[in-house]
Amino acid sequence: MAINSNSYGSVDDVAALVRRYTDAGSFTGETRPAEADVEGFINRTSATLNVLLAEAGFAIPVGQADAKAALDDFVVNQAVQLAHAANGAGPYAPGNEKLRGSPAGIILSEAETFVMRHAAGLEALGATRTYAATYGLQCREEDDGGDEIVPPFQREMIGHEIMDWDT
Amino acid sequence: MGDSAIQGYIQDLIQGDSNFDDDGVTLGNFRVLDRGSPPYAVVLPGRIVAGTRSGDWSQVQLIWEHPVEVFARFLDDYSDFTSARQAVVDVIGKNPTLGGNSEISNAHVSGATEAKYLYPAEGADVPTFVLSRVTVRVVEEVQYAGSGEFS
Repeated sequence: MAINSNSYGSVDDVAALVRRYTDAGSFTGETRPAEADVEGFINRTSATLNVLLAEAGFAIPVGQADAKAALDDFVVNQAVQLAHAANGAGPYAPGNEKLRGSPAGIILSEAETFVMRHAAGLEALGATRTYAATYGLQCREEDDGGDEIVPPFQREMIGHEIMDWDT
Repeated sequence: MGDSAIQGYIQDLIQGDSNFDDDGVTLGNFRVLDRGSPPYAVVLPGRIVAGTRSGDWSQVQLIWEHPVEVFARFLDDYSDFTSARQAVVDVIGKNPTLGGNSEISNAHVSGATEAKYLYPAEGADVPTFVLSRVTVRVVEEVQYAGSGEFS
């Protein structure tokens, strides 16, 4: 396994934060977790982020430097927690009494919070947003027979008055 | 001479053993556990278990006991741990003056605990490290000739 081109963060970034699980600072085939395991943590967490980013209208992978750095950090920190879990430690460790739900569910929830709350910030930084936040909302103007659909309610129908505030 | 010097002698000997990296043998620095290159040996300050006048009365014989905590990562078995601890036992046993020091008249391992485990603060029943506290007994001959009442 290797890091996917759409992924964020790196194996070395994870190793720097959990050196005790490495072989002199690097994950190998003999460490716990092994290098391939860490690559899997990174790829899967990145994929979760990318699903949410795509849902919010962003082109993936996000390439804008600051936005990417933030996404790198999110993925690396999640991978660190998964590396702890592989050693029976940290918040995702099996048997941790404080663990509520599955690690995947927690990661999804935290990623959702991150992306959805800060989509405007990612866009403001210059992350490419290929379609608007209103993507998915559509207005149907004709019925299946091709006849014009008249809205059941229209302006001025139920006591509504249009006021021209400039006059 | 004294405690610090003896710690240094023990550190030097263990660093010279191929089972250990030089940086993996420290004087009291447990942060070595985060280096990612086990096994580790942490030499701690000793205690004096006995002392007596000897020789021409300007000499004092002190018997020290220095703890050396030997750590190995706990993965699938105890082979790394037992090799590391045995290396410490052997390197001390082969060097009764801790490497040719005239003020040391004897040194040997006098005890070691059974395997103990270091667990993460949170998590399941999986230890991160297995360790043993090895006791190194050192007989130091301290010469006070030329000082104090012997000057």
